[in-house]
Amino acid sequence: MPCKVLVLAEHEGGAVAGITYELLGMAHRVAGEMGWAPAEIKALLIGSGIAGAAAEIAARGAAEVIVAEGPAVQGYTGDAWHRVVEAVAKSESPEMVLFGHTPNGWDVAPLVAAGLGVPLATECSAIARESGAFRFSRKAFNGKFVQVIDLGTARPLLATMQKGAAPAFSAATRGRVRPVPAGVGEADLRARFVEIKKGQAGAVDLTQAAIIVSGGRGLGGADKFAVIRDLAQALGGQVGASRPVTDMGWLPHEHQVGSSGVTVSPKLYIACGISGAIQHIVGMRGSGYIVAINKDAEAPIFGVADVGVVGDLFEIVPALTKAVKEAKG
Amino acid sequence: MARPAAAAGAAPLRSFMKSLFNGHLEADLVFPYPRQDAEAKETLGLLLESFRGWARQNLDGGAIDRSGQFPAHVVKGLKELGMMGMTIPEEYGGAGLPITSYCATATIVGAHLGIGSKGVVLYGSAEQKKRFLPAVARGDLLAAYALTEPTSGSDAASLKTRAVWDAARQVWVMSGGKRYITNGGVAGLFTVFARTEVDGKDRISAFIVTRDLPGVSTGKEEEKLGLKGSSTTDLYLEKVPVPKENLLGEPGRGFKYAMEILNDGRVSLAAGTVGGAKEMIDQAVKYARERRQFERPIAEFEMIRGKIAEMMTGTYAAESMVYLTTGLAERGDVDYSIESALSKIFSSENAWRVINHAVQIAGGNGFIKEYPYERYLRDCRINMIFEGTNEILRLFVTLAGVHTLGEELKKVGRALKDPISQIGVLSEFAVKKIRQAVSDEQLPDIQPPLAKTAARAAHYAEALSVTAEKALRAHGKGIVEREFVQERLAEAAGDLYALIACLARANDRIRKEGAEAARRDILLTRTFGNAAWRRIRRWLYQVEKNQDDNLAKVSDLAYEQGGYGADLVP
Amino acid sequence: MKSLVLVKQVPSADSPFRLNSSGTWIEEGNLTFGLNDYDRYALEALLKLKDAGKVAEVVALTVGPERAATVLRTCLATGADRAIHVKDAALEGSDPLSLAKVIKAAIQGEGFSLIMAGLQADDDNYGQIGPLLARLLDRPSATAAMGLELRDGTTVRVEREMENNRLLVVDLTLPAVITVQTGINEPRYASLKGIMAAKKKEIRTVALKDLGLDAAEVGGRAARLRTVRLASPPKGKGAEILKGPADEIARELVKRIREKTGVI
Repeated sequence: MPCKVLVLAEHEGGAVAGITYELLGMAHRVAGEMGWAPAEIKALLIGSGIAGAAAEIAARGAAEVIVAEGPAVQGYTGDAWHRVVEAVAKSESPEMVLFGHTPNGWDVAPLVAAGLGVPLATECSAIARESGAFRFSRKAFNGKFVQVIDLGTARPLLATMQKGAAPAFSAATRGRVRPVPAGVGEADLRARFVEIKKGQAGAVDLTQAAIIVSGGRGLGGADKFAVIRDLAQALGGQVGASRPVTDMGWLPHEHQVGSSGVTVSPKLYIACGISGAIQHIVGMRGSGYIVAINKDAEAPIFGVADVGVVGDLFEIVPALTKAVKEAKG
Repeated sequence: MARPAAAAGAAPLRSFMKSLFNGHLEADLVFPYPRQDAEAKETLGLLLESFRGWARQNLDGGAIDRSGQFPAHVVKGLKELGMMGMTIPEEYGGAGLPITSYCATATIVGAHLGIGSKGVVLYGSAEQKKRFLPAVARGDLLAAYALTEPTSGSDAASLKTRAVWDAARQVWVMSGGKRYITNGGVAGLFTVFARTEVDGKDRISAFIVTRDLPGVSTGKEEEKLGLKGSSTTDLYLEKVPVPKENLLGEPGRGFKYAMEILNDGRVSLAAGTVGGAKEMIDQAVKYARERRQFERPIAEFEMIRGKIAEMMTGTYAAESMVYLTTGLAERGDVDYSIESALSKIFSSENAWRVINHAVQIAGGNGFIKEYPYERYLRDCRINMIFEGTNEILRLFVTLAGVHTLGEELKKVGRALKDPISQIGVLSEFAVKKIRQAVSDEQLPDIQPPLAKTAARAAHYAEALSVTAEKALRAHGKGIVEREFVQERLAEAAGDLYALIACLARANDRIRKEGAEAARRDILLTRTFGNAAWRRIRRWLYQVEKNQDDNLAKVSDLAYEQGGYGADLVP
Repeated sequence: MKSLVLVKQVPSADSPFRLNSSGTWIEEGNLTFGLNDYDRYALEALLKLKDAGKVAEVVALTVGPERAATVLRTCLATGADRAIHVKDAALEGSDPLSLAKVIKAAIQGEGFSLIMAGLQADDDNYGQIGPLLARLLDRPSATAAMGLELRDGTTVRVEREMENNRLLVVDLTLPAVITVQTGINEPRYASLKGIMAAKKKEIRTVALKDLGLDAAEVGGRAARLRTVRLASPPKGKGAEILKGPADEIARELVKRIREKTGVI
């Protein structure tokens, strides 16, 4: 079967990463629009000890999972992976190759682009047909503008997709798994995977956080921060704060978001008990998705939030923590 | 840096504003608008980029304000960046940047370079420069300017600190006290002005006094309204043996030096206030666009727009004046003392208005310490007071302006064999001659979009000179006592100089880049011009038609009552 | 060991950004420009290695118009030894792959062992040039470095930032290309002394013809990655307010967060 869309699957030690299903979701959406058969959607899975992952992906979106296993590709290196992706892209000649805009996705995609001699669209949030061509939407100037780009007529079209660009594919499929030789010898490599380790413990760097749960004056005291911490922990995020909180010493200064603290742009920002003074807003309005929880329906924070809840945060935040835990299983 | 060679006996230097008072529009001094030296501009650009990046991380103006202290790491950082040597000549380890250069830098640097060490740069001997400037440029030796005394503020020439030559020890023995010395607590080098006996006459001389000399000490840190991080103290001098090598320049010329240093300092100060005003505009615009009331950004409301427009035009004018004046200063062959005084008056008062508007735009938030507005308001207040109060400077502007006018009239008078006391009956000849001169000397090469505004400027330039001349005829030498008149003429001169500076700047942009590229300059110049010429007209009109008598009576009333008057109740 | 840092001049974050009349890029007239923030960290990483005696020379390279020379001077003032400015009007609008080809040509024969760049530029946010260049040079690369260690003369150990506060450690055989994440170090600022000293340092300016490249292949007109339009992001009219019992609201929030962000 020919291949129209090839998706680079991601996994962590054999567990399929969520982005894979989002990419498959995007692939199905594009294929549906183009009238391509679902059978022409394939995934490429690279690594070792990934048989289970391959079967899962085949059962959820990919008509075929091409599996490249071997010692040389056991841990991620751009040097090894781009060779596999390039080889498969050449043999399958898809119309489009989708990568996640993840640390490994953004690392390998340009290597593949240069190897194949085709342009690449990075950090895309949408793919649409316009004037008979694919158009890729993304943010430029750190979110100040939406940019729509065209990649011309060269194939395959390459794109790295932001998380959340498409809903994860969830229907059951009965794809097949096809092992291919990785085609990479360890001796060929100029990069050697060493390990994955924990980052610096204790260091709070909100600017790099993907998820921030912030508390404000509305919490009423340092001891009340537990509800915020619980939610942050459940989401795997960091704890932020507005100025009054750090001023009053409820949290150290490095947690402060805003003009006199840090400017953040996480994917998700949850503001609890923060009214939304301008100094706070300038520090967080670049966030991808903003949830505001506040007693005061007139609080300016609702002006910048995507979704809001008017109510007592001590009721809503614990309920949210519980729901998040349930959702994560 | 080039300096006016003001040695006694030399031909008087040209001065744009003196000529203007005199009825001559020496357009070649201001047209074309001075261009900054490209290399200096880039050096400054790089330094400021570096400084801003560093400041974002290390300089917390609010914290300095709250603690009242300049943290050691900040001083260290400023030293490492080389901010302390910006204007020190390159051969002594500085950057040799022109005085245009340090706007928007911390006060500590302003006092250090602007006036503290300026005396050594301008009048120091080669040996003195070699001895002091490298350490000054590194920031290891901070400098302060010590002129003011407890009983001698605006009347600086009445200072009492005295240095007596001790022939046996070959030292000047200096005793006295100085007040409100910026950098007093941290400086190692003081430029001190003291009375001395020169050829049997009582004259002021300038000295370099280092902190290590016996008898030198400083007082407690003053608690101030603003600029709390900067050090302000008394300087005590008790029989300080100042080595003869520390005499600055020629003995007896100290007062002249003191004034010339301030001349330079004022342009720097003006540049600093322009920087502050620009920052406040940025903050206010941001606030106005973000703050929503009645379901729209307050930026849309006309009373906010009016304030923003005034902030923009005033600051554009102030900036135009500052760069025009630094351009004049850097030529080295003109006297720019009036221009520098006008720049300081105009830009310090503009900054005050801008900050006041910004506070108002921010509403209640403007009054709260969490926002920067109130600190800016406090910090910028001193600019209207130090380095010459704006009142003293207004007096200086008018008297220096009409002084040459008086000289000119005297010349005409002599030609007609008519003494100056008879000037009131001087034939129409002289007046006509002056008027003729101005209207012939239109601003050159004015581009069409500015023609109307330029015509206004030329018209009021003439009016200033005519009014000044009339005032001089009316009051003669007595004009010295007529401060109401002096103030109005100075106000008119300030607006006029600002307007001419805007015109020169905008005109230059049109000529070089075309009217489309210059559309912002044209808009700002026209808008400023429309308000400025009306103000000038009013000021000049009031030189003759006024209620000064009432003002004097009302103030007398207050003085007699010792205040508002307890029995003045409704 | 010779090293190269790729830098870019970008509009300062506090500049007033406005769309151009054709709606394809921003209006440049009112902008102030500066060195891309990520690149400061890349430069600092090399200067640190130079301070430690592990790198002998740090060269800065940019591709850009005349005004871009300022960022090279910033690099020189901060400690770089010399600079290369690729300047050619035909390069306006060139796509990342073409720019990588141009850079490859510009450094041919230089023998750089370590090539660094910022993870991405603050204007287009593409994040491509580093790895594209690595592939064209057929050398290994790593992106988003949060740690860097020259093991010996032949290997560099890189700690790449991964999600959830983890680091992927990888050894690259030199020569290699590494892009850095902000926060990897504390960039120094140019001192006055450095600025004065920079005036005596070399900036070599090269055009396409000096590189033997054809504008028809790498120029802006040949760009395959093309911006069709640039627009302000759609403005939300304020938050949609959820109502109901806490449990229901919580479930609804989770659903939305999952749909909109994919973080759950």
